[in-house]
Amino acid sequence: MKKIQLEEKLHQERRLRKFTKLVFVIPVILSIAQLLLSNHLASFSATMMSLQTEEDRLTFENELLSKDIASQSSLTAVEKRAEALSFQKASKQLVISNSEPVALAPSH
Amino acid sequence: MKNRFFTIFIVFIILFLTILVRLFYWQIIKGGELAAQAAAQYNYIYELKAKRGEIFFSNNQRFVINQPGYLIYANPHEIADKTAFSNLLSPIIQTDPATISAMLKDELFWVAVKKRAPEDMKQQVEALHLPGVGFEDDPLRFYPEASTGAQFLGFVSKDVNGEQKGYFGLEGYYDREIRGRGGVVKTLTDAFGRPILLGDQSKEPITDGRDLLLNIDQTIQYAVENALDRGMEKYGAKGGSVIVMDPKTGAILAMASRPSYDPFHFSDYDQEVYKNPAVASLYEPGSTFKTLVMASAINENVVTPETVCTICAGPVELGGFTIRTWNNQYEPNSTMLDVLIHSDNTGMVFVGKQLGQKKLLEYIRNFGIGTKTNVDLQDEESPLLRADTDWHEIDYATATFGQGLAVTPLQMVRAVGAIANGGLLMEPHMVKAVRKETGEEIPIEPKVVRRVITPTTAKVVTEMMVQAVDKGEAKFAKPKGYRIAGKTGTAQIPIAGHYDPTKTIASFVGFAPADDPKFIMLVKMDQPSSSIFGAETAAPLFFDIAKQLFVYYKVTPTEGN
Repeated sequence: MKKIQLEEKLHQERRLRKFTKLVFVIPVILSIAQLLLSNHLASFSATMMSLQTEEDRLTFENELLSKDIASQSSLTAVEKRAEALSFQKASKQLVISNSEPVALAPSH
Repeated sequence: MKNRFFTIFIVFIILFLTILVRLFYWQIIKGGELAAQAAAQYNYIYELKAKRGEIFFSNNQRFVINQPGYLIYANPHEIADKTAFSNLLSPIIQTDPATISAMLKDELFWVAVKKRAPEDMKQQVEALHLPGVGFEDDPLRFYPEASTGAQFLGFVSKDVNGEQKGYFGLEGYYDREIRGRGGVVKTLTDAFGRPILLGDQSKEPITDGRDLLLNIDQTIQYAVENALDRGMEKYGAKGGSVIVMDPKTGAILAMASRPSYDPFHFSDYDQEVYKNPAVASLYEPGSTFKTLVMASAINENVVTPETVCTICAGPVELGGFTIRTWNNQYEPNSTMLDVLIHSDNTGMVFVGKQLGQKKLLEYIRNFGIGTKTNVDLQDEESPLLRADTDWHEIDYATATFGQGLAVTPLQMVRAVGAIANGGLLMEPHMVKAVRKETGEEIPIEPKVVRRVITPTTAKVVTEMMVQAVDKGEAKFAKPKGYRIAGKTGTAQIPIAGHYDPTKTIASFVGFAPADDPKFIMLVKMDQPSSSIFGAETAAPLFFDIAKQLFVYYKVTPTEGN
């Protein structure tokens, strides 16, 4: 009987020691984890800033390219290019009806 | 021994109390101030500027877009040699060196040297590496088609708070829709200014401005602008306006006026040119108004095209005034069709008498004369019609041939458009749809204002207008093979209580093809010098543009080549 009681006491002491170890170890692990995560997030802000800068740069380039595209596709620019390529404005329109062969259309 | 311990104890108490007092001072008394200073250091609040909405032609081509722009500033305290600085900067920012030097006063730390500088100008200034020069964002508008449509576009400048604001035209009318709403970001930052993600962050999102998709057709607008320039030069006019509209929907397909201005350099022009003459300038319409009065009388069944005028044998005396035809020639048995073909003022007085004064006024109002058209442009004006009690017999008579009352060009187009549209008066619109930042389009549907005349009346009057073009004074300029319904107008300009016979507003209003109109157009020339008559100035210009529109719309002749 005394032996059983002694064994139980020893068992309880061992459990207490284990529990005590856990109580100290877990917070330490969590603290280290939090430190690592905070550090990672903090350094991530640098990545964010560089992404933001890159986005701003691309948006800016987009605006300049849009302006170029709009300029080139304006009718003012198209007319200038047409003149440079020796296109001429049509001075007359000739309507050819279906019933009449093209060869018989009046010459102008 | 005991005393020593006590003394040391007292010293420690005093030290402890001193620390306590200092802590109380810094944490409680100065606490608020220090917290605010710290917050100012690590809190970063910045405004996000919304992008202003852009404006597109009906084919989705860009008409007005945004471009990067800058305000170039200088700190005079950092400039050692102001003369050399000014000389270097002057050719780039196109400002006189003396003007730049005068701006760089010693007592100032910040001077705006150049506003609204585009990107290429900024890069050229940057390349000089001048001391004391900096740049602030100042977004600009860009107009790929230069000054095309300047007066209905309006321009963008700053309001009293230094924010972008649209003035006149579409920029002014739709300013609230297209300016958008800026955002605010509040975040914690580290010593390098980088945001701390774990800290407090709040963001009010941006709402970019909405885009406008216009009814304006890029090709038609371009053709009209070029034709108007040619017409102004050929006929020596002081001003001119052309409006092209789809009569079935009220969609404005083109609108141009002269003199005009460059909306990018709007400040270089007199403020008078900002006003859009197509919707804000008043004129007496002259003979073009006869179509409306004739339509009213036919609608009331008081005349038909075959009705004979009984007072057309000579001038008409009325209330001490004499009403003559424009060429002082008279046809005693003129029918109503002849009256329109020959633009006979005495014949129109006859029509007015048949219609009656009350009905005449009623139809004038029903055709929208005297009220705004509600077009979506900021600067529309409308002359008020006189009160009914202020009309005398002579006023009713002159109104029948479009003198003694004033209209805007758009009012005239809209009114005659009712004849082209089977009798339905439409509300004119510049904008086809408003496009949200998500891409979703909110269309602006065509709106019928009211029915003015019956479809039968519209057909009859259309045929009369076709005859007026085929057999009237403008017949020589008319393109062969096309049925065009129209009417010339030559209105004298009232100056100091009388009409100046040498100064006229020459106009032509018409629609084609007459049986299924694709467009209605008004051409108005102010004081043409080559000829005072609409048949010799506005009408040929109308037909010049109409020929191009027939090709554009693939309308083939119907009456043989």
